[in-house]
Amino acid sequence: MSRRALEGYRVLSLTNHWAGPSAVRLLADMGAQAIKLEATKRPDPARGPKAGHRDRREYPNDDVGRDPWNRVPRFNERHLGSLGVALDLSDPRGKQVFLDLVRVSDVVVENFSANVMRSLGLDYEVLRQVKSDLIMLSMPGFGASGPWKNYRSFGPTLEYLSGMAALTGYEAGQSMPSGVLIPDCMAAMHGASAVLVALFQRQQTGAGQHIELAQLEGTLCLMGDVLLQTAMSGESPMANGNRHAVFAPHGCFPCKGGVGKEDAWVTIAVTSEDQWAALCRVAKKDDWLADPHYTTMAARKSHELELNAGIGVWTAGFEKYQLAHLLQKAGVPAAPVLNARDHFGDPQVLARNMLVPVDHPSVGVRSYLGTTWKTSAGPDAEPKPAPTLGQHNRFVLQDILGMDAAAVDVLEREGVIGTEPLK
Amino acid sequence: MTAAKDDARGSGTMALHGVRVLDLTQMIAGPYCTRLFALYGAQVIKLERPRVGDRARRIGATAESKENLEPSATFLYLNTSKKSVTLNLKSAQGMEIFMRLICDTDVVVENFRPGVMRRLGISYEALDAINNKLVMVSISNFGQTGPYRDYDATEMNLQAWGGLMHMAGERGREPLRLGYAAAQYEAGQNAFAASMAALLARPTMGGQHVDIAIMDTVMTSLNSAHAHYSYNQQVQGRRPAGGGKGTDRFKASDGYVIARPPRNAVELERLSKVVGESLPVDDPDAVSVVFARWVAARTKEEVMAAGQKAQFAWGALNSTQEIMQSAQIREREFFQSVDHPVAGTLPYAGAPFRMGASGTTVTAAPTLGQHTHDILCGSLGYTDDQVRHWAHEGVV
Repeated sequence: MSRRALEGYRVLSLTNHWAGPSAVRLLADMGAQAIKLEATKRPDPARGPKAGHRDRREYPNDDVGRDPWNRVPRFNERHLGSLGVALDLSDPRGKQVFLDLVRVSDVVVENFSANVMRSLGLDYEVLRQVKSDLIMLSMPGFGASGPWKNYRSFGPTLEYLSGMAALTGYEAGQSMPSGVLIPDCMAAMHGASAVLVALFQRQQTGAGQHIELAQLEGTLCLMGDVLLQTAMSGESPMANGNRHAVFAPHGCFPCKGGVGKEDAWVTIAVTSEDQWAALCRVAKKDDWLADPHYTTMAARKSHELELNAGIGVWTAGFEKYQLAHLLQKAGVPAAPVLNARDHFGDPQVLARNMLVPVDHPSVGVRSYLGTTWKTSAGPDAEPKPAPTLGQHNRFVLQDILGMDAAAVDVLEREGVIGTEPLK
Repeated sequence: MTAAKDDARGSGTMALHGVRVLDLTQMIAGPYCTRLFALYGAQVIKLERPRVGDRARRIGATAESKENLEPSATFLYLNTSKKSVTLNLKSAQGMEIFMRLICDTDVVVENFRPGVMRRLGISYEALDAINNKLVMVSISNFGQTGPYRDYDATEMNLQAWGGLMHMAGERGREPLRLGYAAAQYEAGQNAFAASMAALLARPTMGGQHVDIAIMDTVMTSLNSAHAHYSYNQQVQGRRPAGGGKGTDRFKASDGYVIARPPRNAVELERLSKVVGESLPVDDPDAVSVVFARWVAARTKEEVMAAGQKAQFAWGALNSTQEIMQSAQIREREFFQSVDHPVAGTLPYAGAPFRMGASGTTVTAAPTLGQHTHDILCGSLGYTDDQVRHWAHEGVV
């Protein structure tokens, strides 16, 4: 296998849920050795309850198995490529193992609430005594200062709080969440970037540093244009359905089975007169082309409702893929609304190697998202599966830290490390 | 590593000080990537077509004001701290100047349609032959490979291809696009992370060409929908109207708050302390009524503060204006006041992460070609006469 960019770097992950683990997964995809630290007392909540979620659809073939905590798709997706250690940091011996790991690591990433690292006695000032050029990334919801510094956040809160949700809705005045927790996804990429920028600076200067990524602020960066627009106009922009400020037609239209169980839709965006002419040609609608209501972008915009209704009648006779390809071949920006199942059969997704099968000890061969950058330096690396709880206790303590087996036995017997959640 | 340039801005402690980025991008994804480079101290030279420039300069312009280069909010925000040089890459002289710049460049970022760089004679192979330490980053809708490579797409189309739209809106109604440029911003972030990795590895790996597809990137934001499908053939999608999971809304005196109903006895007990009365154990509707009455008598900020004190992650439903004026954002000075010759003084969103040992810089987005003379004469050593002549010929 060809060399990867972060080979030789070691990252310790004290993160839970989505944003932190996904930031670390990006670094692991780049070749870093990532070690996920949990405790048997307190596994990552994304692993679910010990006995399994009540909703069995969270598990492979609806089967919780003997170890439900190792069988949750969300957890296993976000921790691809990590080693897993379950270590009790509130036990002095567990804490010592952690400090020994810090000594041989480059990066620590944590996303606890504001004061947890300090109360564990493991804040940056302590850790840098152990490893002077350490890079530490903290990912609090709101930052270490300000009136909200101790507030908890999770994805949906941030979408509403940041003003993001107010930009999405069928009509002005509605506020709708993304349905997928965009702030977490964005924090993951900003988090990985922050570590990389600091590693680059360390390569130049030899010095480490502590970085703070306040997830609210990261979220606001991704709507910076809208915020500046707000300042310029003195008004908060509002949701506008699938309509565009200038272009028409611009919307999402039903295909065969659209509103029903098939949930099949196509999006069409006409951004020029050429595209409008092409759309009319594909739809065989000479009368649209001649209609004075539709001759210019501005005219179409002011007759958008009737135009959209007409287009919806026409699109309803097609399969979503068939119509999107037809329009694309004629030069009209169109797209079927794809879901996860569609992606598994999509030729572009396959060509880009974006869904890759990985064998996991508890759930067998399942598919996960592939690498989101492709490089001339070589083919995508084959990812290793997410760790089962404590799967690499022995490897990390004995092979990386050089502890002897008898000492690790003691830690295991006394519950400082383990492989099963306590509750 | 290029030496620190005389014309680099900011202090020597900035993390990316001394890195030179040639920016051949426009609109959103590419400029967000290079914006991050510029924020953390790299010298970003934005190359624009003479007299036309980045298309984002004219977002929102009407047909009548098409010639007016007054910059849009999109352009102003995404291009802070960069330098603008105009250059016609289709002229021989323009190409010669570009090649001179490439020799002393660490990263080049482009978001032309796939194949355009090759047609211009500046494919990765051609640039690598001149500067084998170069990191080249290409951002496109579908990537440099695959059957959709040459398809056209807008932000809404990309949210549809990538699966985001399938998740937003209500079940039984049409999917909704997110009202911000989620797909393009995500791709810009992804491109920045990938280019930083390549830059970091340059001492051992040399240069490389990184290929970023917006569609690939959007797929990563679906909250493991693909793994779910692979585990049990379950297709996740939009929720029914009013079925927001964990995000019930309640009306406060000045707007709405978002709160999750108590999930167990412990949370119910905590909630009863917050509202100051005992709550029935087996009657979520009655709990809701009491809670709604309690919320209605308070402001959003008061509700949030009381809930947070009891460890509930409640939040307010804000407009963009409200979050900009919030105490948290003001106290942390997240927005920075920047003066622009045309747009005037405005508050700009700052940096996504704060580094303990290095600063950031936010200066006004450049006017078209503002730094052409500085870079050509200052950095490359051309004469005033040459640059004047090329301006006349339409090269710069």
